[in-house]
Amino acid sequence: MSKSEKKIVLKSLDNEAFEVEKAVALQSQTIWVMCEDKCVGNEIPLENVTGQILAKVIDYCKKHAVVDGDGDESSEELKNWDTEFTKNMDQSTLFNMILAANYLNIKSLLNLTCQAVADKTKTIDEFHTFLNIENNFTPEEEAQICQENLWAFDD
Amino acid sequence: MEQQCKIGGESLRNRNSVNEDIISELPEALLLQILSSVPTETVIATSVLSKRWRSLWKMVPNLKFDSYYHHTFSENVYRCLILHKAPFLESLRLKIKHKADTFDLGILIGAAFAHHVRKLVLNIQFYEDNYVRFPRVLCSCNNTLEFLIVKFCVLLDFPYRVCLASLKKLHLHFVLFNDDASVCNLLCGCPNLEDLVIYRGCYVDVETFTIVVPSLQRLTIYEDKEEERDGGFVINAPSLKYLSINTLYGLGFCLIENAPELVEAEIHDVSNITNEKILESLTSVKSISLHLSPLEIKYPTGIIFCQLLSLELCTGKIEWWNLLTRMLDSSPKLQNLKLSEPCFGSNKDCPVGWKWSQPKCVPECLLYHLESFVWTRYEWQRDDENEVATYILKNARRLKKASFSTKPIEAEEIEKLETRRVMLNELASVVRASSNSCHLVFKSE
Repeated sequence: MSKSEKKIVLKSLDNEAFEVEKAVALQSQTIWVMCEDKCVGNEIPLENVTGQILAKVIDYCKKHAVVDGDGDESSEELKNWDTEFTKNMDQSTLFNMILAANYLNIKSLLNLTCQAVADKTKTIDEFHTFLNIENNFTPEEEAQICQENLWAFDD
Repeated sequence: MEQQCKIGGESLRNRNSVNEDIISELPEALLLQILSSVPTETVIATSVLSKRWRSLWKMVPNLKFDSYYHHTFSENVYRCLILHKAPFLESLRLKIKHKADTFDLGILIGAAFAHHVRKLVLNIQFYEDNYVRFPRVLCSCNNTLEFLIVKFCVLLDFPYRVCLASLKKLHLHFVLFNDDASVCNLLCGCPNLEDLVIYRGCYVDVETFTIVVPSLQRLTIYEDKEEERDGGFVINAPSLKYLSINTLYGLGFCLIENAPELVEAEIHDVSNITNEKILESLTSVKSISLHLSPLEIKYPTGIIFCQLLSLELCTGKIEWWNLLTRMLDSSPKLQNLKLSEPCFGSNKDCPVGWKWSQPKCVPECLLYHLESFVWTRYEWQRDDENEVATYILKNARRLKKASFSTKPIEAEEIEKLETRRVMLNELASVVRASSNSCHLVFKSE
C-alpha cells in the first residue's frame, strides 16, 4: 500500500478537512462501509458533523487506534484517558458527540458519551440542572404523574 | 416539585447555547441508551421532566433495583414491570438485603420472564444467616433467558430437570445447592450453556460437583475454604476452550475427563490435589498460567505440550524452578515466557540459595521459538534467580524482547541502587554476548 492510500481526508459539514490515517478513520463503521463501496475517493464528506466535533472524534479514534496497534498502553490508562476526554464537556458538546458517534457508527464512543451523560444525571435534580429540560406540564398533570410513581420521588 | 423555568422553544435551533434543553432532541434509541445507565429510580422520576419524557422510562431495557432504599421494594419492582412496554427486557438486577423483601421473589422474576428478560442478576445478602429458595418452577420452561447471575444467600433446589433453553452464561457466586441432584438437574437443563462460573465458600453442600456440559466453552472455579475435606470436581466438557481453577485448598480431587479442545488454562494453588495428573488433561493448551509447586502436583512423565505458545509461572512457590525446567523441556514451541511473583504474600516459600539443575541440553523452545521473556518482581539479589535469568538470556537464540521489573528500593537502602545496577548490567552483557538480537528493558515498580 502506498503512502497516499494509507491516508484519508474527512470533510466536515462546515468544510473543514482533516487528513488522517486510514486505520484511525476505519474505526467508524460508516466510513468503513463507504470505503468498501469504493463510491468515494480519498475524500469523505461527513454532512452531519461540524469541524469542531469531528476534531474531537478524531482525537478519540487516534488514541484508540494507537493502543490497538501496540500493547504498551494498559487498558487502565486508556480508561483514564476516556474519563478525562468527556469529563469537562458541556451538554451541547456531549449531545453533538453522541449524534456524531451514532452517525459515524463508532460503538465504543457512543457508549462512552452516553455513559458520560448518565454519570452527570444520577438524580432527578441533576436532570434538571445539567440538561435544562423544559417542563411543559401543567401543575395538575405533574402532580398526577408524581402520584403514579410516588416511591421514585421520595428521598 | 419545583416548577422549572421555561425557556423559549425557538432557540432550540441554536445547538451551541449552554442554557437550554437539547438532549431531549436526541432520537429515542439514544435517550434509552443513556437512561440504561441511570439508576432505575431516577429513570422513573424522569416521567415528570416533560411530555417528551412522560413515558420514555417504560421503554428503558435495563432495570436495576436495590431493596435497601425502599420499604415498598416488591411493590415498586412489580409495578414497574407491569407498566413496562419494551418488547424485550435486556436486563433486570435485584439487590435484596431483608428476608421480607424476598417473599414475592417468584412473582417478580415471573413478571421479568413474562417480559422476556435476557439477563437476570439476583444478589441476595441477608444480614441474618438465612437462605431464600430460587423460584424453581419458573425454570421449568424458559426460552429467552441468556445470562443468569445468582449471588450469596440463595438455595438452588431442583428435584427435577430445569429447561433454560437459551441460557449461555451462568455465574453462581457463593450460593448453596440442596444436593448433588440439584447440580445435575440445573446443568443438564441448559443445553446451550457456554460460560460457567462457580465461586464456593466454606460450606459443604455437595460432595462431588459434577459438571457434564457438552456445550461448555469457559469454566471458572474458585474455592474459598481453608480446611481439608473429601470431595471435589468432575469435569466433562468436550467443547471446553478456557479453564480456570483457583485455590482449591480444601478439595480432594479435580478430575478433568475430557477437554481435547482446551486453548487456555489457569491452574492456581491446587495444593491438596496430589493424587492426580491435572496437567495431563491440559496438553492441548496454547496458553497456560501455573501458580503451583511441582511438589504439589504430579508432573506426568513423557507429556508434551505441543501447542503451547505462552507460559506464565509463579515464582512464589517452592521449587518453582524445577517446574520451569520441566515445562521448558516439554513445550517445544513456546514463544512467550512470563515469570511473576504475586504482589501479596511476597515472603517466599523458597529457601535462599537453592541450586537450580539446568536442563541437560538446551530445550528446543529456547533454540528455535522463544521470542519474549518477561520477569516481574525479579529478585536481583538472589543468585539463584540470577542463574535462571542468565541461562534463558544466553540460550534463547530467537529472543526479541526481554523485560525485567524489580521491586522499588526504599530510601534507607539507597546504597543498593549501585549493586542493582551492576547486576542488571551483567544481564545486559549476557545479552550482548549471545547470538540473539534481543531488546532488553529494565523497569522499577
